[in-house]
Amino acid sequence: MSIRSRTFAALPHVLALAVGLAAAPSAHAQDRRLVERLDPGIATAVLALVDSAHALELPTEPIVQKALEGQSKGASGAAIVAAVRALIHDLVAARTALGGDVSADVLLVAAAVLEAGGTPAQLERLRPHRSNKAFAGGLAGMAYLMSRGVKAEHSLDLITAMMKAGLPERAYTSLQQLVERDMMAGAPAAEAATVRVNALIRHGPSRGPGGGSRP
Amino acid sequence: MSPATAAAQGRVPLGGSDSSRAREAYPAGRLMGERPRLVIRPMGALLADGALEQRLNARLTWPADDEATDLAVHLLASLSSSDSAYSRSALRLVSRHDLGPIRLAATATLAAGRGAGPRDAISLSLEAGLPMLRLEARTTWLEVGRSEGNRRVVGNVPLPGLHPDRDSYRGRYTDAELRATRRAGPVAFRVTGGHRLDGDAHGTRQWLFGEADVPSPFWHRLGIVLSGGVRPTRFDLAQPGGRFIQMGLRMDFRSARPSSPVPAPRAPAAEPAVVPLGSDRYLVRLVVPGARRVELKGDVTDWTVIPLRRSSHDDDVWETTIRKPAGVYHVNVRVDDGEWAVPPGLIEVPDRFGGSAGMLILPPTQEADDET
Repeated sequence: MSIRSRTFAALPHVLALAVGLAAAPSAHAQDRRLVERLDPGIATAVLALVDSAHALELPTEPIVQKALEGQSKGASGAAIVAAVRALIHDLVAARTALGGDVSADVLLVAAAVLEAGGTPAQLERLRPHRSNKAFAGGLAGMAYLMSRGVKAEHSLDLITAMMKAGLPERAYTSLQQLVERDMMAGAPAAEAATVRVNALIRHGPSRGPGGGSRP
Repeated sequence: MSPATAAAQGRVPLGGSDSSRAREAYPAGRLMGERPRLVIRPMGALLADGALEQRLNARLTWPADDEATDLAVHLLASLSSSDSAYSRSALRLVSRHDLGPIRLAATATLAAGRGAGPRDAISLSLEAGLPMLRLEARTTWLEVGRSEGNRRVVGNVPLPGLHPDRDSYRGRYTDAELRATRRAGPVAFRVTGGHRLDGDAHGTRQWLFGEADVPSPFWHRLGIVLSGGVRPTRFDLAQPGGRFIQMGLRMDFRSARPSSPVPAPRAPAAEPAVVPLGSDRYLVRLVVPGARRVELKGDVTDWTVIPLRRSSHDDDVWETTIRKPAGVYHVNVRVDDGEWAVPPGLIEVPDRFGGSAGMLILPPTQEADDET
């Protein structure tokens, strides 16, 4: 039998192998989103990082979502991998600072604080308040203030004061709205934040639009 | 409230002037704002009769995402050579629509060729299915002109019905194909089976072939494509049917939109409302005055874009229902095809890509009851 004939005789077996491989369950069934949406090389790298996070007992869904976010925003493969890697690093640091029993949501927001320029030591100082129902909102408020240029220590002081006052989640959303309004009127972020936090602690958040009183 | 007034008050920025918004409201207008994708595939095939076929295909696609809904435009070019050469260029329009999990697609391809193949060809196809399993029905009309000497396709396969006394040939054939796709890690496998329902098959009325796309570990834009089996005679592609094995390269240049900072939030007015509906369902409402179209993407949508619907009670309120467990999520919103921004009233956090996202907190149902 010639080489050519043997080659074509083997074709059905090759096809059957291909079909069998195609029918085999994917090793990352729940991460099919990554495989379908990322370039193959990037998907492989991200899946490896997700596996590492899983081994570290970190929540993996936020990591997958970060990669999908990067793809959605047109980030390069290198940027996506770097962002995922940085997120994992911050999640580990946040868990160390706040304790291993905090929720995945809190970890995620704490990682945002670190991304915005906060330090693990600053997160550790918020640890006594982690049982506060609005803890995630407070961390988000801190991340917001730092993103607006308020120094990390000052942001920490303001948020700590709000947590000590037991303000609810919506107080931190109100804080952002009020600070944004004041900044548009020309007030420096740090000054606006200080005034608004004091007002929120004194009067609580309003339920209406723009809640809280003017300074 | 006019868009200009809304912008002055710091609302989410609206996209462009009235005329540009009107233009971009049409699929073609949005399409031209997308960046393209270029795929080049050189390949060589060994046919059953021992002939060697070389082929070079190039495809330029708008938008770059092959699975985008709405409208897509492809520009195709192909060079093939066996014992004689055939070159072909084509314009393809694809319109897609989702019906739940099922995707429907209608495709029209207009092709013109020179050399050992048809002069003109038109294909119309309808496709339906899931991402991993699709059924397509395709009808192709051909025209071959005697004066160009287009009497044979490569591999000595004559075009159907060509008669020496006729000035030209017009033919038609209809195929049905079923394609299954599966990924194993980075490798993509596809199996295609088909049947020629109508028209000359030149001995290959049924076919079954497989393809494996293996990305290069050195460069993510490069892949090796291996295929083999029994393929149909595609007169429009100057492709003889029968048994074959083929190896080629895939070079995929997807033009990515560069990361750009997302504008800071601009809406100090109404808070977004998150209304728990029970069973991990939430109604999310945004106040965006003067908008014609509001879209959202985020962790809650796996970062795919979903349109918000206008509230039946207030033209300025846009809403959508999200099915997710209570927790913290990140989202961005876009108004009238403008830039993606943080939704009004949400806490802004950096997204690690040079921009920002809004932090959407879906409260546990009990906690939401406590605050109302």
